[in-house]
Amino acid sequence: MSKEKIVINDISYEPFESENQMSEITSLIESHLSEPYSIYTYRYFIHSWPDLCLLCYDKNRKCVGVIICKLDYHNNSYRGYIAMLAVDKEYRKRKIGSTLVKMVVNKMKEQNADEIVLETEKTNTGALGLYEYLGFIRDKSLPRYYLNGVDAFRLKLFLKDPPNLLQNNININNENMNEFEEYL
Amino acid sequence: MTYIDITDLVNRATEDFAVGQLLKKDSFTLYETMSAIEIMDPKMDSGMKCKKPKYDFNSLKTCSISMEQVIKIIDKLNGLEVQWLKGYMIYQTLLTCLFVNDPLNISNSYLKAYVNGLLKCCYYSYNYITTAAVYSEEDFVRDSTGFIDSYFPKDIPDAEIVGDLQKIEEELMKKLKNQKKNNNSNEELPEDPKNEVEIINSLLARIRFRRAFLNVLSNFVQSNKKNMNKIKKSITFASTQIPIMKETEETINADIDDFFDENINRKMYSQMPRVTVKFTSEETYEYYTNFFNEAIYLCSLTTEAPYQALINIAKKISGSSNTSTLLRAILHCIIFDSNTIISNPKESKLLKRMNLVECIKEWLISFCDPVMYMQSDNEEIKELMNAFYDRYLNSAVDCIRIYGYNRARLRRLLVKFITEWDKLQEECELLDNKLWDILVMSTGLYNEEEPKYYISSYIYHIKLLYLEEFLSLGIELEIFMKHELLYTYWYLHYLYDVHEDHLERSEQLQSFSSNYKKINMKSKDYNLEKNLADLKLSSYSYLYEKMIISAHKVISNAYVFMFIAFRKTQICKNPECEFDKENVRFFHRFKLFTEVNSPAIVPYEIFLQNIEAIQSEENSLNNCFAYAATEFNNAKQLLLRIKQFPDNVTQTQFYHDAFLKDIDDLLIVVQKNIDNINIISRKISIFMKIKSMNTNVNTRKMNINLNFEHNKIYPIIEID
Ligand SMILES: CC(C)(COP(=O)(O)OP(=O)(O)OC[C@H]1O[C@@H](n2cnc3c(N)ncnc32)[C@H](O)[C@@H]1OP(=O)(O)O)[C@@H](O)C(=O)NCCC(=O)NCCS
Repeated sequence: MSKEKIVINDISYEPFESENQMSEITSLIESHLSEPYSIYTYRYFIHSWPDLCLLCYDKNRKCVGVIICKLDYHNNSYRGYIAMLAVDKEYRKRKIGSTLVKMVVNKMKEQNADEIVLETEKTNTGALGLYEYLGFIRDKSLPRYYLNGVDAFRLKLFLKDPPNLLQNNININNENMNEFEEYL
Repeated sequence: MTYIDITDLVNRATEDFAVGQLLKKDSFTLYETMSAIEIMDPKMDSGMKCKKPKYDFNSLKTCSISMEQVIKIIDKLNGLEVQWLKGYMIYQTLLTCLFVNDPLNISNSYLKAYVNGLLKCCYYSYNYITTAAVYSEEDFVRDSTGFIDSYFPKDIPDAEIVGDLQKIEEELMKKLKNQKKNNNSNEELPEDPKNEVEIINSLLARIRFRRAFLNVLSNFVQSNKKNMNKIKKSITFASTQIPIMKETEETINADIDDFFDENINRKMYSQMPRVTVKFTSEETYEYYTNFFNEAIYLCSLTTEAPYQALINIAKKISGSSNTSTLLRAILHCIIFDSNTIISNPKESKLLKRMNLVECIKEWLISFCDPVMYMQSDNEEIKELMNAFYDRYLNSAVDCIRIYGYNRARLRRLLVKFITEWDKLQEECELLDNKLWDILVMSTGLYNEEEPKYYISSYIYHIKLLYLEEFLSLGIELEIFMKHELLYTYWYLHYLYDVHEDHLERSEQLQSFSSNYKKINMKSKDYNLEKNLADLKLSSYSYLYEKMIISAHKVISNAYVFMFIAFRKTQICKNPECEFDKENVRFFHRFKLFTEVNSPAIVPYEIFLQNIEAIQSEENSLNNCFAYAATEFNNAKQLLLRIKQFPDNVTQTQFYHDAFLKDIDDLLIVVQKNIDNINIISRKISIFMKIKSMNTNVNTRKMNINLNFEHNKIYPIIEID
């Protein structure tokens, strides 16, 4: 299988290739995320959805960013899930994080996903800022979501267009429109 | 049992594996991977051999503990108690203290009395929370094995535990007196007399606090007037100890590490990743203080009251920043008489004295007074009405129960709840038709009239309240972001508008009822005077409900205009990313409305047309600000009138002071916004002028600030 590499601003974005990258991934994630993940958790994601695990390297082949995801059915929707995302401290605020997310979002769109979800701590302004900048919305408030007792938000990005409601409802709503027009 | 070393076997068995290859069963899914433990990883493996603890249970019995150590142990125990009440397992918290595992054998009498007092408090807390059963796994961990019971001194009577604490208080008081005497007589001073006095005082405060807390918890079980008065006193007493405890927390030092062991739980059945529960003493005292501040309101639950007043107090406790799982559980135990309501809603007594069916009838009367059905002699009507009460019982109970849960989950609960009410409303429309047909047939009157929708109007009213709350909670829980507030307030305004109309229509029901009474009912049928008084009260209540809805309507409308201005000037704009689509967001945010029969969903296109019409108006910016100011002023007038109603009209009997404070806070928001609008509009027009001259100006430089300090739904808007 040919693995495509994309280079933007000297940073190379590449899909997961081999077990040798595992230690780069775990060390980058462990130093930035609070939850302790067992090696099985990494393997569960990476081996089941290797194309949804992306890494990025700088010119010196230092691994400076990683994103790990999955895509499967949840109730009635085909749901993507961003499990982990981290960018090396020295490399932040250069659009690396958002590029990684955009790439997986596009991959999931190609695979016909309905929506993408993830959880992040309420206090993680960096991650909240990044996902909101990309159009994710907060779907739920999750009290005490993490082992350390911190609250979280579930964020969601909807990928499908909604049904057209206009036809059925136009009458009732004109009434409401009049209200407004009266007001102005 | 002997162990066999299988290292070699495993190595041989896995020889053919490529690096990283994993052999697993299909059932080993994400959940299993997340809870799997990596053996010998100290971060996860709680079975790893650690350093041997200094004490075992035997040597603990005889160890000597200084008074400073007792104080420090107490402080840590308090912190652990609070963390347990906040949702950590008892094994991770209280049971990490060696003494708690063997309380009867504690040699130090101070500590022994304290630990028993603490454990008795835990016993009560545990019972309230598990009996009320309004928690989820994140809020509280129930022990399914029943093992936990053996830790609580449930067989030792309260009086004995309280007596032990009191004895110690007396002993400490004596010591203090002696100290003073010694100080005065100046003989044989201990090394540091001032310090000695401080230590005794600190311990005394802690013992007193515990005794008072135990009194509070134990007396809520029998929530009669006498006990509630005792609780009030105990709350005041406990509250005065907290500052002393806080003050001395810092000044007293002692090493107590050896009396706690985080790994003690590995000897017990519990298996979990090792988590060190971290907390600050500030958090601990804040919890207690908040608990007492709010528990005072529970003490007022001694009189009879309309069901709505009970819903209102549950709502208040749910929305308070002082709330906690324990507090909400106690409230539920008091209102629902230890939750007998679940097994027998028809017979069980609210507040141990009120019948739920009677409460429902009262509520219905106060809304629309369907007297021709409620007081009918017609057997068929009677039967239909009784069937309605039965059907309605559980929904009425839920009106209070949903406020027992963690507020972060309330939106999700409301989704289910609203769908239920929607079904109920549909059923009630059929019921209304049936009742009307019978009435027309049996009286031979009203052939010409349209059927009257009494019951379903009442249900719709309540459903609208929940829909409004559902959207408002999105703002309160910070689920809606800044760029989503325009459509949120816009939709809220639509709901309040529908609601206002509905209340106006329903007023006709009341006048139909009073006509019916004049014609069909003789004064002997009921006590006329009482009835008139009740009627007057309920018509005021109705007026109040209408005014509240109108106030919300004008306030949300004011925000709509503010945010239209911010949208037009791009001060608050949508994310500029190809994935963001406002129509998609709009659809999902208001999806619930596609699932209920009424009110009709307003599609995104209508919203957009409406907003764009306003935006494209000539002079639209100034107009928007002018409209907003007018609406805020309207709100102010309404709120000032609302403040005048007595508590039996507003149904806030149990917390009227807090209710008035909320109105005052909202008035502050309204007034501040009125004041700010001038500044904001001036700043924006200058900014727009500069921008029109120089297109390079970045609009991001101007930013709105939303201050939710005074109200969680309606912010004070500032600009910088
Ligand atoms: C979150 C994280 C991945 C962001 O990576 P990044 O490469 O710095 O992000 P980008 O440069 O792509 O940022 C894109 C946008 O996100 C927002 N953003 C990013 N970091 C932010 C921060 N600290 N505060 C506020 N907004 C932030 C900004 O809007 C930014 O756009 P801008 O630069 O034009 O203002 C990185 O901070 C990180 O690794 N954090 C620790 C791990 C973590 O929290 N992971 C997410 C858990 S789900």
